[in-house]
Amino acid sequence: MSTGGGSFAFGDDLPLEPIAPGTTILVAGPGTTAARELALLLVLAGADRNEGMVLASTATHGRGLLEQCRALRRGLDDEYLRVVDATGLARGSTDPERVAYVEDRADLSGIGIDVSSLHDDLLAAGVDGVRTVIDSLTGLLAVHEFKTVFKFVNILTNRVRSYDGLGILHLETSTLSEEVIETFAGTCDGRITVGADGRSSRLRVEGLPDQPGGWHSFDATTQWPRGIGHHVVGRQVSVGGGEARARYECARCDLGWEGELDLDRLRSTPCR
Amino acid sequence: MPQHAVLFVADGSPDDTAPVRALRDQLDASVSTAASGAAARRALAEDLPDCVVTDYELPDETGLDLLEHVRSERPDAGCILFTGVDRAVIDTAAFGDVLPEYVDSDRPDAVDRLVDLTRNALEARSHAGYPLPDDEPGRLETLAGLDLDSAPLQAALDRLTALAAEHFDVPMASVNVVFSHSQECLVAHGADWSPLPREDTVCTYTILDDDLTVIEDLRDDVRFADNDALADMGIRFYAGAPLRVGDAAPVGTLCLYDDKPRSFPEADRESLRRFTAEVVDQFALRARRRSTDRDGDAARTGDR
Repeated sequence: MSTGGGSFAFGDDLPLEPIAPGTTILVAGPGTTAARELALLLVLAGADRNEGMVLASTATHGRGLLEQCRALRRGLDDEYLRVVDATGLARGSTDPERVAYVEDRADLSGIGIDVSSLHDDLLAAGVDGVRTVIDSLTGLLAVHEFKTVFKFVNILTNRVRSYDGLGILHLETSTLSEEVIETFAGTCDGRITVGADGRSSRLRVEGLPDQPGGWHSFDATTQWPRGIGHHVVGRQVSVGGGEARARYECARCDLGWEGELDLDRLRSTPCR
Repeated sequence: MPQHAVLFVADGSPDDTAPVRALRDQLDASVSTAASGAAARRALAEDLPDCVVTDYELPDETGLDLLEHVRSERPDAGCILFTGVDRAVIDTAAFGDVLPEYVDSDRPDAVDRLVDLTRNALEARSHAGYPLPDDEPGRLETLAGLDLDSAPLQAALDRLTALAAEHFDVPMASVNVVFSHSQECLVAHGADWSPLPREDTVCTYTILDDDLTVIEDLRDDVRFADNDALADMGIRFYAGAPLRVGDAAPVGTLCLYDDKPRSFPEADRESLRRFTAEVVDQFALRARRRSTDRDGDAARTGDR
């Protein structure tokens, strides 16, 4: 079933040509790269184009994810942004029209039904197409056998194809073999590999027509520092001892730590 | 004769409903109906369909209970929840890996969507938990043309697998064929294995490649690390070669197994390729003889 939408475009921020409706893309890269940010940006680009956006998250709870999206794209118009919170961290919704809660990320059936339901709500609201991101397949692999996650992906890619949508699957690849990455990529229409070159991010597109070949820099990590709460937060990635670590620091106060971005901490801690 | 089978389950008289009429009119499928979970289970016991469409609220169980049963019988069957029940009522918590497609039957275009998603399940095999070869229809056609029950073929493959196990010093070796939904051992040396769903086998992946698939320790491969079926079979090491008979995608595999991890150097890989060529020759030889016998029978019938 075609929804009659045109190609999915990304504006000047990303080195990508518009992508045909019905396409699903695997966005793959280690956690120390901007693969996750790119996966979100590919979907959030729909905000300027009267398109719907569905974000399914296994690691960042709904409210935090919305904050991250607003930080990634300043001035984000989120009228048609919907979130499936499958972290199990939050119970009940204060915004049931916008955020659906699945109590456990092991409930892949619930995630699939909510993604479908929100997707159909957006189409019924009159959007020109829907972009859907799953963040991330790695989070699903932590609680399900590979064959189950593969089936979820197979169902989703076929649904995206039927409804002329855009599907984005984020895969954090640090602990995965190339065979596993390729198996997921094989059921998608294309793959974007994300790497890091010093402090800048770069991407390479495979399997999609009319896209630039080779590696290209893009601007995700350089969107740091970001204003979060009263802080101006920068991020640095350092490599040493066989490990890569992300460090977050406020440029105006002494708040800083290594590990994951903690939006709640930033918002609840005053800045000088 | 329709290519596929669909079972539609809903309370009342589902046979005379718009979705059933649309599925019958628009798909190359026979569509049967059932008015309860029990009736559906009786139908499933007789013949497993390629896709089951069900309402959530059935007289005797929920649609998810029924679909969980379908998945246990045929894991790659299409499973579609077609219901007007409010999302908040649908309790998925105990059915996390059933993975139904979902269509809200109250939406104006619900029937069109149902037809599209059922077509996906039947033709694109959208509920398979494994990748398919590009030429899956041609592969299955080639497989159907082989004389798998031939006693001389079985005897030749018995000898070859025994020789292979001895040559490579492994406790188990087998020749497998991969059907539409399952994999079966045609012959096995050192093992007696039942058919397995395709999503549970390594050979499902081996037939995607032109060359060997070697996994020195299955526990180190995310695709198979949590696979209970392989663990129950006592397999840690796997080396498989695709059996390509003719131009279509491989119909099966020649496999070596060990119950402990091991390496498989290039010399062994080259030897396995030579064994594989012998196995393929046996399949081709029996296929030619079957074809010649059929031609002879036809000619004799024509003489009478």
